[in-house]
Amino acid sequence: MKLSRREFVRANAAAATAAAAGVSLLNSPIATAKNSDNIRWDKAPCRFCGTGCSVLVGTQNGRIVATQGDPDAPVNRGLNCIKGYFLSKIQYGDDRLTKPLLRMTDGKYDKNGEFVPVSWDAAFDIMAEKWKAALKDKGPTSVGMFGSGQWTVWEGYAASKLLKAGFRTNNLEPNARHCMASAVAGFIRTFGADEPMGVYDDLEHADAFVLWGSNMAEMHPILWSRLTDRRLTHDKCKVAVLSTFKNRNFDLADIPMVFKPQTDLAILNYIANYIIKSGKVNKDFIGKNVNFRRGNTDIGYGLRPTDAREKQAANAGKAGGSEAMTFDEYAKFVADYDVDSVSKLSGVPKESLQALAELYADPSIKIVSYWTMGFNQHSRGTWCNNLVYNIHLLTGKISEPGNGPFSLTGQPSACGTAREVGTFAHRLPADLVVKKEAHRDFSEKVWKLPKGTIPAKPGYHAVLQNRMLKDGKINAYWVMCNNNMQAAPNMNEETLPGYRNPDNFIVVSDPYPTVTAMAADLILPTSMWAEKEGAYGNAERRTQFWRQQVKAPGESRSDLWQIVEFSKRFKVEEVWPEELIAQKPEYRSKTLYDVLYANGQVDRYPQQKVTDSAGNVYDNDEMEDFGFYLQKGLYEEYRIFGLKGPKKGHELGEFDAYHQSRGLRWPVINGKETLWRYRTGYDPLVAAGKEVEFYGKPDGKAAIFALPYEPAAEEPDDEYDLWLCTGRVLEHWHSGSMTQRVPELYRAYPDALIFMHPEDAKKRGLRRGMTATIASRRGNITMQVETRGRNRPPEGLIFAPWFDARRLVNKLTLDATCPISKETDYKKCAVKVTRT
Amino acid sequence: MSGIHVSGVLVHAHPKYLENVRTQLESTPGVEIETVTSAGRLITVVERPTNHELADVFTDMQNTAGVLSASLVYHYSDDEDAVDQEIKS
Repeated sequence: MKLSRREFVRANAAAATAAAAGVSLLNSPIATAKNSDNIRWDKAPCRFCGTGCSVLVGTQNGRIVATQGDPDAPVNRGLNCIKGYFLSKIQYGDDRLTKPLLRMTDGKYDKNGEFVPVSWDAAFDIMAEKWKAALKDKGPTSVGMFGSGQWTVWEGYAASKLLKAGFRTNNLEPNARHCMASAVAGFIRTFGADEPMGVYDDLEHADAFVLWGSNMAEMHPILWSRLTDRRLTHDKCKVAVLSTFKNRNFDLADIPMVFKPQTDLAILNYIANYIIKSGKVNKDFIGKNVNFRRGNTDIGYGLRPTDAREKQAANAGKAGGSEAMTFDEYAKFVADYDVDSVSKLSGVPKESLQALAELYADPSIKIVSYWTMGFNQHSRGTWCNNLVYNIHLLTGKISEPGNGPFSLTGQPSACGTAREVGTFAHRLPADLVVKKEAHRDFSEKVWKLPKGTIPAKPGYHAVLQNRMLKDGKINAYWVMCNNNMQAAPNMNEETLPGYRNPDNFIVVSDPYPTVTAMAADLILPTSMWAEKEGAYGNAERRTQFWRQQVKAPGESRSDLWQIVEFSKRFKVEEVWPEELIAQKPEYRSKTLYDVLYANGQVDRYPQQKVTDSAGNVYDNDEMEDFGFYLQKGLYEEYRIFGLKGPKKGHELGEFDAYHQSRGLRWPVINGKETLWRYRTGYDPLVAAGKEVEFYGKPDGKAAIFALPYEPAAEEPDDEYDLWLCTGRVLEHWHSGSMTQRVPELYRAYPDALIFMHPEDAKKRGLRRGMTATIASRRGNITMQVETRGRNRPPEGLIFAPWFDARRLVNKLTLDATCPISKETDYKKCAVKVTRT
Repeated sequence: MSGIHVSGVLVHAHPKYLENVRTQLESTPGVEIETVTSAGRLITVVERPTNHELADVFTDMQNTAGVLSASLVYHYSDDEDAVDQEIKS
């Protein structure tokens, strides 16, 4: 048979696609998709969202030339979304930073100067000078770091040690505060342990799926394709979609529901009420496994304490408080949420509400709830999370195949790094918290530190960090692996004034000159993704490793290298008080590097060759530089927290096991991963004799919370007459700093548009394609109007994506947060739209 | 323009609109439907003269009425000549 190259490639394309769909093509001349060119293929988790797809990275002559879906990956089974397909290009944007850049005038640092290339030595000199001055002048609370759910596991861990132990400040936050904090707070409050009980395998076991504020079709396309497959191949499968505007998920929805913003709280309580009224409560389950709590109400909006809304709130200072109640009291509490009043409040037809409630109530239906930012970025985000758990707990539809609540994640390692390593202002690794003495003691023991090193008071959370920069309380600040000037709310009033405050020195580490980098005083060029060895943890508790595939350009260094190398600049005496050093006199005159990283533990794995099963050899620039296997040492030290720490359920496998597998889902017990947590038969940690044990709580019982509907922080009025909801689009990931630099993705979706109802446009003299000004009380921007397409808002609401650096939506948003989780509500503020 | 730019795309169509989707895709330049499965899945191969146009087609496919999801499975891009040369006989 004769075969041209074109035919060969086309046949490969067809065969691979058919294989991914689970069918085989007849007459296919080629069985495998790999081609024969001298390309080295190795696995890596995708750089973008929290799904955690595995891709095969093709490298040739020291450059990544191709990526493809990994057919052996259980998450994506060879599939890839459009962003994942152009992954190979994210490292090769034309404007990659290759040298440290310092704002200077006449050869000296000047906050108002121009960026000038400097050496790493000079960069660390000025940084260390500013950090030491701040520490000396105002103490540890005057320095801080804003990190990332895109950091590798060891980067987050190294940063946590440097900040919490080295600088003795808890002012460490990840950008994951903006996307996952409400999920974290919800999990901890209800179950005493973070992260979902289920796994993606639920997608092939459930009879019904409910999307609560999750545009899965665009934001988690691969999971959406699995869900679509289930819906189309399983006869009784139903899909319910709830959103404040119609999006692509509605194409598949059996029960489509557009509700008025904030009324999801009422809908959730209505479902609980329906379950109780229809006699569908699983009494055996709640009797054994559930406590009931009445949560504090009127908890404010996490705004500055001077804001009238905070002064008026009865429980702004006790937002997380609750007291015990009985089932009967709880039933009485939700009884107010009847179908008539909730239909009226939410704008959702009664029949739809009832159909949705019946999906949850019917004991024969296995049901999974999915949510992302619609719940989490909500001024009552923790409540939303608690309330959806209520429904699953009342019916016992949890912790088994096809049944369970599942919080989807936005970033590749919001779980693995931000949450599991605990790079938050109040956390330590493996669900430990700084305010508990036993947890600090344990951490200090693992880290071989004197008692009292880790401060007990939580640091400033993300939104508070920006306020404290503006107020001059934080003066030395390091932003790493995120684009927070573009991402944080209320940019004009809070973020930008903080960065440009003359008292402050701002360092931004990034591969590209982002909006945030341009607002900095010092920019450090960063190695990204496959330019370093890494580990990410996805939304289903799966930890995945990758090897360094290529060298980073110019003088770029990984975040890990930057953190560890910077620690060499500090002598213990410069950062710790005498009483601490007196406990460990052997640390006197040592550097933070000696104490934190060359501590006999992190540096115990000698330099070695990194190879794959085919014998290919990979670089590891950090191992080369520091002279030991830094990643392995950090990981193995971190692993002690899960194996020996006070909170069980965070056990991880050995370092090498992850390089050999397509990831493992923790808890990993005796080398075996755990799929469904808290139920015997699936989770080996459940105590013998118990069917279900929520072992995150001391009594093994989860909590159902009575929590009401309360209005949003800022609702439309006569002047600002529209709701603004912000979010993402399929083609771009987050702030677009990577995807906007991929020509194909830029071309596919170049500019952010405002999606609005045609009637709303008409009323304002606007038509599709015209430019409009969107204004809030805090700022204004201009965008083109879109009245068709993938998002169809109802009258009274507009949607605008935030990826576009030339149209900064966060000039408009309000810095209102969930008072419990401190996560911003990016989905609700009031704006007006006018013809430009 | 020489070179070869090919993708394999797995398309999920809503069963109600399967015929519409099929017709729409068949009339899109560069798209070939290899097979359609019973559950409304279309195995397609897309070939365009440039990577940009390939991405455009992929975007259009996602935005086609009745398409629930479209996932890339395979992508090959080579700007070199000699794509019609025989490699095997």
